[in-house]
Amino acid sequence: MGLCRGDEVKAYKILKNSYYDSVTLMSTTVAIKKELKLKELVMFMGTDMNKDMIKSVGLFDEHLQSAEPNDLMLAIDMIEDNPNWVDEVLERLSAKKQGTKESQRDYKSINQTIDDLNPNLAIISVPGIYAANEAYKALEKNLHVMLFSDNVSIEDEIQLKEIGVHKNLLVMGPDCGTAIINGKGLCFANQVRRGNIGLVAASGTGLQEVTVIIDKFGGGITQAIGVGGRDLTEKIGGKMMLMGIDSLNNDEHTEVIVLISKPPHQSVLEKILERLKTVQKPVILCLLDAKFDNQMKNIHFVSTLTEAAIKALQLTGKQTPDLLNLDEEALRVIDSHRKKFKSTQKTVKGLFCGGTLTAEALSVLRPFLKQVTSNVAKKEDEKMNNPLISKGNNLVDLGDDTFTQGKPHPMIEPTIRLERILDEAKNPETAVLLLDFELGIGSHADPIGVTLDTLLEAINIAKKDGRDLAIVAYVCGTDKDHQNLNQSEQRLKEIGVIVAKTNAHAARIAGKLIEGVE
Amino acid sequence: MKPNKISSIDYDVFIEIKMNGATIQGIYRSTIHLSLVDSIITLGNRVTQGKHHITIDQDIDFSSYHLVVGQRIFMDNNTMFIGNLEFLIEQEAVIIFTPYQHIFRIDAQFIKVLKSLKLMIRDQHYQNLFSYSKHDPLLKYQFEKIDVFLNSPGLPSALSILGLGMGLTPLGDDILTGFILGLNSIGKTLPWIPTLVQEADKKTSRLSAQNLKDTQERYYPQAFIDLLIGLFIEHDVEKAKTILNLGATSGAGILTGFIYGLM
Amino acid sequence: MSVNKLFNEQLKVVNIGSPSFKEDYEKQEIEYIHLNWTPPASGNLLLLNQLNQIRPYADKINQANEQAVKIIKSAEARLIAIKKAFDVIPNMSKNTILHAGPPIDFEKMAGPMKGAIIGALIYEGLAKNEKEAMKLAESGQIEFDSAHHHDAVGPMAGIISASMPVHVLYNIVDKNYSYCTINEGLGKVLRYGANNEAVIKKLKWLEKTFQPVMNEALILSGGIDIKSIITQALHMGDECHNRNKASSALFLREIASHILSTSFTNLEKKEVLDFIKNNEHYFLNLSMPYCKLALDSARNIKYSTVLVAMSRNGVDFGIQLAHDNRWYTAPANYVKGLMFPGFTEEDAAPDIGDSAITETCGIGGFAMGGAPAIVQFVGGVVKQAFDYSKQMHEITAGKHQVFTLPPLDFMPTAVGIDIMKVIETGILPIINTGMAHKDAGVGQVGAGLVHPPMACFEKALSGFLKDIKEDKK
Repeated sequence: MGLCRGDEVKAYKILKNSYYDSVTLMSTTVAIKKELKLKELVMFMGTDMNKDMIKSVGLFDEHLQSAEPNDLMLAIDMIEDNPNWVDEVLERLSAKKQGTKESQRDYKSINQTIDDLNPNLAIISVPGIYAANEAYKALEKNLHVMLFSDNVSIEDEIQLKEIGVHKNLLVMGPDCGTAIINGKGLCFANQVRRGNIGLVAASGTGLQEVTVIIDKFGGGITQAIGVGGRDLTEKIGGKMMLMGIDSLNNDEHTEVIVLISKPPHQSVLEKILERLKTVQKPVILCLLDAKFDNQMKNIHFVSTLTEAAIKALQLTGKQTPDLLNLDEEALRVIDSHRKKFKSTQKTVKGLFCGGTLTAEALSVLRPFLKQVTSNVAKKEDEKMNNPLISKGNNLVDLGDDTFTQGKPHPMIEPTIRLERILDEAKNPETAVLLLDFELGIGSHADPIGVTLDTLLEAINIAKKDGRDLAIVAYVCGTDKDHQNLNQSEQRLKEIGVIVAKTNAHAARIAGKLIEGVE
Repeated sequence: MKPNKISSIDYDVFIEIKMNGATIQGIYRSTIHLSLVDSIITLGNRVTQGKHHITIDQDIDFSSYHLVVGQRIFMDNNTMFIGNLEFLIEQEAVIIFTPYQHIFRIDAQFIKVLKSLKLMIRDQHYQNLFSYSKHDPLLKYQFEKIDVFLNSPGLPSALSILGLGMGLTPLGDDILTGFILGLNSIGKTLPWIPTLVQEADKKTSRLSAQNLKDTQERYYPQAFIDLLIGLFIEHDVEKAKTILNLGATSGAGILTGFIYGLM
Repeated sequence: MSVNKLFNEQLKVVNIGSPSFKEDYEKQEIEYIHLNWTPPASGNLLLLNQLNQIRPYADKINQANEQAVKIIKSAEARLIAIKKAFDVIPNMSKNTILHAGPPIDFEKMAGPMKGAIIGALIYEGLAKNEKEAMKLAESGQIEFDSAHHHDAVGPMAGIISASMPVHVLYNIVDKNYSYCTINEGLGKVLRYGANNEAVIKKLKWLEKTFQPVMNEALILSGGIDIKSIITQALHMGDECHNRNKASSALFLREIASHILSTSFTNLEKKEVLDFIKNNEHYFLNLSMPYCKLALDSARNIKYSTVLVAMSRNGVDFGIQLAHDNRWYTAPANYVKGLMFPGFTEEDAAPDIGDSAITETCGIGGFAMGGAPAIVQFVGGVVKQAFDYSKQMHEITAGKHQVFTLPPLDFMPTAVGIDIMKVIETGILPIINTGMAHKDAGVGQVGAGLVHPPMACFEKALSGFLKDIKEDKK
């Protein structure tokens, strides 16, 4: 039943009493159009109005006239005659109904999934030595890739990203722990409202923090693209960051772009700035510890994640309270702790799960303190001798490789932090304990719940020794995350923990608590 | 495994299925549609209670059971049998659904909520009246007609979108449903609405015509009631989320129609 | 722009690695498939490294493989004659003895093969008895070579000597020929290493009576389409390696009246007809040369990693790529399956014969799904037969068009074994085959399933990689 005219074949079919929901119909239409390389395929119930509509796009056939409102009309415009088109459509319509996501079939390779699922993204978390191979295979099949795995060689990362750039496919990673694509959180991510802010980040918890703050104050995001921790090094040259910038620039829903990373190699920074010249939309560049005197049109340089979020919100018309300044209430609490500190208590100990949050805290705390060390520090004089022992003012990223060899990451298993908390509580020089908690997909089901008892114990240990232990915590999450942000914060407040509004805010509070104490 | 229970079913529907059974009309992931003599019932965990809904207490993936369209289902001794699945119906689950008569007032706060609602629809949904891909001729056709209706709602423009769109409930119908809901909520009506609902029997699918009739007669599923209370009384735009997430465009369509029905 | 396209689509994820992400997809109603992932190349990093080095040539390789598969599939094969080996087989002298499998010195050969060679030498009149024959074979005067090098194949010992009649197959597409001996039947026969008087007598009959009658019948018939018989037989429960009942019957049906029409005596015609009728594996010696013909037409396609030969000489298993003519060999495995009454596994010789050419061409073990009765001989259950046929698609570059398996919804059989896929997936081609007694002359002791050794593929990968890298210079 096909009418040929030069280089196109039109055909139609009426499926009597066929009921398919719009999600199934839409996804089937998209999939079949792509698979069979069709010019057009429409599937609508046989109502008069739909018939008119199909007429208006030139796909109507008089035989469709007999279709009734409870029938499904199919009209197709093919490049070459495919007599099996109805069967293929039906197959896919009913295959969709089978719940393709978890069928009995044993899938061992990407190849086998193409027919059943028609995937567009491969999320790879196998051991590093095999991860690159899987990524190559995925790219070969024209899938975008998220490489959660680390321990992938630099050579492979370069090659994979080159293929990605060439084929216009995302290669998020290696070592990319966070992304939010089309409103869906991938690996470790928070449930964030959709909106008009797009992000590209070379840092997982950095991305989490900025998106969370945006959501907290009524904003929303279009896409949050992770590029992996090494993307902005000299060898990799920021390939994915540049691709992310281009795609957000071309995305009609994105009005503001936020870029997040630790300070990149100079040559890479220049490339990025050069590319940003082609971007009309406002861009916020957050490179943490880096200082900028540049004034570039449309580009806002900020040095904390909090400022990045605030700026993005402002630029999209949302107001936020002052998130960095300490209000009267906060100052009062700080003061009361300071009065209670014993003379031995002089230092702040940060125990973090998120690496970038550690780095941000370091950057915020620096001006408050004479000396501070961290296992994420880049400056020589700030490096820790032994990451297992916190001397003086110290911020430890417990998610760092040295701690996670053969053990789960603290975001998944916060209990590995507990012993260290008690150690620091026992240490007479500790005045402030600074902690982060991450909620969202991928994280532990109740990170606060499993830590509460230890925090109470820590406070008691200090009390018995006549010390007042001030605990400052920040919960990185939204009200849509399944771990219940509100309750998490409440439970902390109930035991006397100072709950901050953002990570930078928490660091400021910690700094203020310890300022000038010597 | 916990036995399945039906958590709500309308009394008339209960009696009818008991007497005459029903036929499976559609099988989806979390819901199935049952065809009765004069109505279509949606059964599942993810729908809210209502006159033509049967809610169950556990989420079941119906597509993984060997159910077939056209298959008969029946009830015996207060247990409903759907293929190999059994659903217990306890006394409390049988409800006599009545029309929802409450009429709300529009106050200044509600106006603010409406504004946020508009923004939410626009931002959350990539295909909606406020931002759609103008290159798609089918969408363009639909939205232009819908635009005409929303800006001058009347019988001709309403009829021109009745049955227009993809899926079990075409977008045009969703808009009309929302529009009627909006009018109803503030106690208004328009003289052509009954005619429209009558026409729906011929001009659109059974399910959609039923939705329109139910809405006109104020037989709302709980989700609609929650929406009204959430917006009018609690002034919380987030309460519109449940509706917004319905189907691919259904939710956005209903909410859009709703906003205009209030104006 | 493809990234922006992703932004407008529903996410559909393949999850490769941690299963803990599954519940996160489900919570967010993301459609996904979780792979039952195992390390490629069975975790062998050296192999993985080699695979990675080949990656830049992927396009060339894919193109070459596509071409190879196309040529293999399009080959036709007509049986046009039965002639003496010396008359038709290229580079064959009176002193040449061809054998199955990759080249091997006489001293190293397995029992059944030596026995068969002794029988052949006596048959040719070059030796009077076993002792003389052994001496002659060891003397260096006999030229031994792989049948494969002469466009020929033979089952089990696969011995071809100058006077033996061979089937002559012709491919009108690529205009090449292939040859194979006549199947003697079951029991104590030459191909299992038997070499007594009865064996020699039958070989003489084949030479003096069978060959002339059949040759004339073939001339009268205009040639028999072998590919067509295979296509039909696959729909009748044969797989054309270990189960040849239907194909042999179809062949008899095609040739019978032509035999009757020849100018020979009724007795001779009857003997010929009976011979074919009583040998339910007759067609094996036609399906094998068909496969040889089809695969040979795909030789010398540079960059192709598709196999054109899998063969065993009773000691080693050898494979050849379409890319070049090298043999990659490793010690052959023992067949695992069901033993005939009175025999145990210790009695069996290692895998032997050219008959794995059928699997190389996508029938035999690859078509087991269409011949479920085979499990009665090789062991296992019917489902396994289906699963094997399906599984082979994981390691081939293509699939047949006309060779389809009705029990699997007419699924075509997999063709074009790709060494890269074999190594990556760790899945080896499945061969179903007979077991010979390790001592010469006893005969068949069982049947079962066997795989080529992975080492062959690893060597082939190394060799191939070396070749293409050198080419770049």
